[in-house]
Amino acid sequence: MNERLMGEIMASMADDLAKGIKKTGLRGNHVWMTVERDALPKIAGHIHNSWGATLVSMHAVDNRSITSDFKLCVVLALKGEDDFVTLVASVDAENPIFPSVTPDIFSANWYEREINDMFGLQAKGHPDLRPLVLYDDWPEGTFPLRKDFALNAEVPRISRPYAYRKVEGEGVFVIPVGPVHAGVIEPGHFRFSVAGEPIINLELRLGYVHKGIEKLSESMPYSNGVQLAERISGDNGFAHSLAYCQTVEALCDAKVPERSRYIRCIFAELERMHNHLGDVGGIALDTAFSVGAQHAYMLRERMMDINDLLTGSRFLRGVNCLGGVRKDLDKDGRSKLTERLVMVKLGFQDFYEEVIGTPSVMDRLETTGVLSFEAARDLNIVGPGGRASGVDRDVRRDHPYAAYRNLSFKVPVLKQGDVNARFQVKSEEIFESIGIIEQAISNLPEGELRTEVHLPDPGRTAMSLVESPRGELMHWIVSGDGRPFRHKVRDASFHNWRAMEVAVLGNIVPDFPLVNKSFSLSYSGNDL
Amino acid sequence: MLETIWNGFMKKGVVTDRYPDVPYVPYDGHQGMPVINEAKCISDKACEKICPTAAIQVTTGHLSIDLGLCIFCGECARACPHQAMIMSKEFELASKRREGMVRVYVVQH
Repeated sequence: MNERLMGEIMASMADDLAKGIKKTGLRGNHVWMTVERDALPKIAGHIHNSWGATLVSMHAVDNRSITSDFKLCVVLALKGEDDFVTLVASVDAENPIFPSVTPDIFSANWYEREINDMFGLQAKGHPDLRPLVLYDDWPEGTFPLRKDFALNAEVPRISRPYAYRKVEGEGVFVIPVGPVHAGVIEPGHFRFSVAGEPIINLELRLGYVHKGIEKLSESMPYSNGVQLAERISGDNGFAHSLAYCQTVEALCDAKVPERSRYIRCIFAELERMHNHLGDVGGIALDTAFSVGAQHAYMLRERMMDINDLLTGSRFLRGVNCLGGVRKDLDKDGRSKLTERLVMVKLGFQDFYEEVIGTPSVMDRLETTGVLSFEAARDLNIVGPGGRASGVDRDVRRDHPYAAYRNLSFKVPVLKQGDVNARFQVKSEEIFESIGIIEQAISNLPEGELRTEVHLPDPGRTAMSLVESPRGELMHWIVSGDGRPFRHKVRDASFHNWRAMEVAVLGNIVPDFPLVNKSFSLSYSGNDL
Repeated sequence: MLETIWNGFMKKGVVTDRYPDVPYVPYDGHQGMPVINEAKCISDKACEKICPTAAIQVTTGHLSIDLGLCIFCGECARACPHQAMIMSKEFELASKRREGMVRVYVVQH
């Protein structure tokens, strides 16, 4: 970000908007604007809509111990630039109400519901302020992320029925599914309304695995946060720990050695590969193409096996640490990895041709679960799910981190938005990941693996975006005394779950698992 | 169809192992159950302090590791100044009783 761009943003605002801005500052590629509470929706809406920015996160900070108010942050990423704008507004502690941003930025909907749940700040004008993440029997007026809520506090449980949307009419049936499912998966409640076979409404209810990750993180030293981050959403653990480490490293201006940046890229792509292989296998399985599915699972197992061989962990845990990485890739490891990649590439080619050459599978994939570009853009769908609907955004390219700046790769973008498009995007990304890893191995610089990281000074703020296999995720930390003062985590699934409610409409119930699998959503990452 | 059989049967062969009839040997870097070398441990509590899940308790003459809490991160093994703690390759840790998850060692103090 440069002064010129900041000036252009300011100049693009009409006088009555610009009046709402109290203070601006520039830090690296990040513009900070302190705005009037009541001007927040219009200013955020202006930058979002006129500048084509995407909403990265919206969250609150309980700042009552310092400035005796709550802070509200809206983080926006500018289109086509590696630049961010953060708007900060102050919300009165005695009168915790702010004007809703949702009418101006559609994707702010769930964020404001979450803020209402966790901080008790009410978005006035929000279309739907029902609880989002809190349990159904959580007492009203108890807000877990406020500082005066003790970490181990026990709350009385009350009965509070959740008001589901009512879909009524002749011949309309409601099918409730979950939270306990037939398979060994995470809990979530789906309420389908059907008229005959087609689904006419789907309502999601999540939050059953809310673990208080953010609260927990505020209670532990930075070094333990890495292990916590690895466990936010198990199969995306490397992406989460990478984002966490990068955030803390940014807080204390640590210079991470070049070699560890490359190694981080290699492991991030290995994680993407085993996730995508599992997803495409799941898509094959849900179309009853079991043989093909087993081929994909076999390849997935080969990738997890090489993870185990290189790091001692099938899920790449324990690799990231503050200041770099713990595991080196020696010559032997590199050659074994290259060998395995060749094997998996050939195997995946076979699988891919098998799937697209089987008409009964393609018949199920094509035109199923269509998510239009407009819906994907407005809901801010990230990752392969968004790219299959024409949203051309990939953090690795748009906001490069680790060593991605030095690696060349293609970002596959398709327009159809159906299950097949998501299958194709993930398949292409597997091939791209192999290419990225091969480049990183051949360009791997010599040098240290990690640098010393000292304790960040209190009161600083940093953020990191990482492209996890599921899409863009974010960690955002305000440093405190030896531990984070506020740690906001936003997983890709927090955006992407909402795509389900749109994509299944008009489809038959038996296609729901297929659509669900193609978005590959994390319950744990959403519920935090 | 024929292609599918060819890709599966002929090209890939058998990919499963005969576990548990044939024991599985983990890779060298595998982080399994943390094990104490009782002769080297001097109860300086370095492991207890660093353990992120409070799975390790050091009391007079005893060190206990609760494998039900342990997340196998290996911080204790790295923190031990006397190399008394190692991450072994042991991974078959299931128990029918909760108490069976706790390993108790007799150590110097």
